[in-house]
Amino acid sequence: MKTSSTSQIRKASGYRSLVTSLLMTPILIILLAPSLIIIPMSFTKVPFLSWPPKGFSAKWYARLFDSPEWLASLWHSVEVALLSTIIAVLLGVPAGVSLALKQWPGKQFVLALIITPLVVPTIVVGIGMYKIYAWLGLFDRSGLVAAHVMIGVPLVVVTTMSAARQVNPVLLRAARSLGAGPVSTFFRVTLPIISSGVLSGAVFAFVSSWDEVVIAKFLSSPTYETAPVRMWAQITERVDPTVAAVSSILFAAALLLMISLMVVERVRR
Amino acid sequence: MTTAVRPAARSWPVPLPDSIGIWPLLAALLVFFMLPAASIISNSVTEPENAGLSNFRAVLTDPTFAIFAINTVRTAVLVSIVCAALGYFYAYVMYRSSPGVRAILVFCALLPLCTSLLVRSFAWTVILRDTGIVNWILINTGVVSQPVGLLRTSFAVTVGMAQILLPFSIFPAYVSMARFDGTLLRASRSLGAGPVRSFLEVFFPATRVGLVAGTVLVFVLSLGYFITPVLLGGPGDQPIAVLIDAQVTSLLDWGAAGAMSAIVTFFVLLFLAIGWRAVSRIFFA
Amino acid sequence: MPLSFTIRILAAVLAVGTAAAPAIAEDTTLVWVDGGGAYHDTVQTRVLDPWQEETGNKVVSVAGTDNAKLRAMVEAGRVVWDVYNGDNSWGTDADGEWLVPIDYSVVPKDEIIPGFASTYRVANMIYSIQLAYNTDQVTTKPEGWADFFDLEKYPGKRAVMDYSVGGIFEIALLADGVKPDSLYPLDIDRAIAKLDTIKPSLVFWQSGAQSEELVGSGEVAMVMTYNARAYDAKVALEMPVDYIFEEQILAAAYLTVPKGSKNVDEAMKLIAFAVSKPINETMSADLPLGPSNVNASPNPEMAPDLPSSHLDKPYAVFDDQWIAANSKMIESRYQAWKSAQ
Repeated sequence: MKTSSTSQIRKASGYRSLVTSLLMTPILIILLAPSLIIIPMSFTKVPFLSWPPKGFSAKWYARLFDSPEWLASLWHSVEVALLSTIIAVLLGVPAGVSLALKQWPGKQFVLALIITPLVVPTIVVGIGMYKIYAWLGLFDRSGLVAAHVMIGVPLVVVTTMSAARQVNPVLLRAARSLGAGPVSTFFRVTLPIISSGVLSGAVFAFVSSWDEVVIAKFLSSPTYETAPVRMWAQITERVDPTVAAVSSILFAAALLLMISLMVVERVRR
Repeated sequence: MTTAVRPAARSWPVPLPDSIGIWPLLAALLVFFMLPAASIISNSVTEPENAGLSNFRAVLTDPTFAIFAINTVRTAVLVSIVCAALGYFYAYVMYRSSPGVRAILVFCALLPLCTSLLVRSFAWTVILRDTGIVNWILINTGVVSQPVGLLRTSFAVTVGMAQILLPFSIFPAYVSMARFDGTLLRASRSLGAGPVRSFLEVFFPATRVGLVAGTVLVFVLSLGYFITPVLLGGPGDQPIAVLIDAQVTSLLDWGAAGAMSAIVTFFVLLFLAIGWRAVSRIFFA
Repeated sequence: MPLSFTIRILAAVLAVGTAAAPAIAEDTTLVWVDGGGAYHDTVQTRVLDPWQEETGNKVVSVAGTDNAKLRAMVEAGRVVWDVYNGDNSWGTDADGEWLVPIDYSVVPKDEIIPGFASTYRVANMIYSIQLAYNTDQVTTKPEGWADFFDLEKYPGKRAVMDYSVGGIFEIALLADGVKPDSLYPLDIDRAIAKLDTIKPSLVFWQSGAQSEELVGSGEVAMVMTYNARAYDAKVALEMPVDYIFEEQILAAAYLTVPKGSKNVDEAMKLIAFAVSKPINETMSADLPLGPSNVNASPNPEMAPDLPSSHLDKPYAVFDDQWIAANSKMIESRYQAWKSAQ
């Protein structure tokens, strides 16, 4: 039914599609330019970021892989992002399912609470987290993981909720009436249905941790830096093309993750 | 499924409340987010001792805070308008495209998320600075002979932030369009309404909720931006976040920082509350 | 499947639980914190390595001083830093809430240049804020801050430190004819009036490296920056940069001990060691960092580039106590001025 209406609308004149592409081009340039521009710059020969890039050289990548500090920071980023994603999923999935499928009062309020970490400016909570986490004895990795769980969990809740709405309550009741307890109903019925939603939530949580810098600036220490924190230090200190090389690698990694997610989604469907 | 009747041995000994799934999350949220936020905001009334509302009074009557507040709101409004217009248009093009083109457009909208916010802001400095790409093109094509000052302007901040926040307005708008019942449009056309009128009177009102939800999010998120204005903005574009950072890190005046944080947080939550119906209709329904 | 899955989840939670164990060193290893960069390396090779050799005690050095973190640590009762090497705005009596008083029975106060050792801090090196310029654009050597503000004689942009208490008001007043020894209390109105005369030509820098890039690339003709940065741009990076010591403003890096440090006695000994003559004078081996010990004889090759070698020319000294007492007002005036269109 939708196809017929869209095809009818799509009978747009060539004039209109021309206007559309004229308008879309700058939007797409604005969207994509900053991500793509970094890649050619990472292959420059000269020790500063210039346009147009001068020469071609992979030495900044070589330097990156020779630098224990950069490698450590990349590893720390992976570690923090993985751990915080796992915990965000463990906390967020039950919450999302409960919000979507169960009835209890005060849901809107709880939802608002859950998404506050996304909207309250990170600058406000950064030093507070440092203080409270220090008090709890959470430094470096554990502190960063705790903070990034807070940022990742709303994303998991939102995607889980939208997936969980596809679960037919009749199925759940059937499972329960056949003697399955709530836990086994969850693992055997609900989880398989919502798994793709959980997966995309997990990817978003991973990327948001991977990317986060303002809070990480407070919580990381010189002995435990994540890649974005190290990049921030480089950008405000001495900018050399190593930063572009790191960004290109981070970009490639996140891109790969995103593409595999899309492929998985397609295959599932 | 083969075991037709199984005793309820596997079920929990005591019935669990339906809301059990959210309690671990709420507990974690309380300790790892609310407590830290409260520990900063509470400084506003505890420092100096018996501060009462003196920090709030000082901050609210400080002309500097007023200037930074105006900068913050001006940037947020500009970014919201740009994102609303471009995001809705982008979503509309997505909606009307064939599935293949649509997949490409989804991909292009998600692609920026693969690059860190920090790097994207930094990339804009490379693009916009005097010796950057835009000026390189302008000079080489003979449009200008002297570089145009683009970096450290409100323009740079607006473009940089809009680029980062655009996905937040594209997807809610698209969600509302995807839910739109196309037969309504056909009905309106068959009743003699022109394409423009159908769009304005049928399509737009039905999809406005996505536009509102996206714009609320963009607006609320721009209020707290720190990295992008610092890297791209000039002296006249610095937001409250910069002021808070200075109070926290270099002046160690956490009383004032707490008051400023409380004020920003209050407005963030207020705007979120105002747009909540739209946001929850898009994201939680 | 549910059972194994549950066990896997439990294992993951446990793994994270162990990861959450406090990462505080239990032994008495000292932790030294400084601002990082080339300075960090000098501290390591000239101060900390000799200390470890001499005493056999371990000291770890980390880069990245952060006043807010120090305060948060003290308030949370989890202090992991022992010697904190802050800049001149840090460690005045106003910061006494977060610091341990220096033990002058261990640290030789009488060997320190007068004025550079106070209740909570001892200077370990002297630096300055000076005028550096791009030699392609500025061909006649400037003579002081008045030339920095003279756009007709020296066309081009100017870069200033984006930090209210970093000296921007001081250079404006010096340029306006205020005598170096009567700078304080700062006449902010007068400074702002002077700054307004070149405001459209000002670029604000946030990090020392930026200041080097701005003047080295020629984006600005003149910059106000740290003497070590100007030296780095000219000597290490071989940029077309030169600098003058006329009307430099002297400042110092200070050693302090955070309240709650578990190794206060050891930290005091390390501080005494760092400011002692034989160690203190080696700070100038690779960088233009002046000694704070009156008996120290700095590296003769570095002497022409040390702020302390140019005290025959007019110079000013930051009045840190006055600045600390008025920092709120200075910051507020600065931000208001800077953001006003």
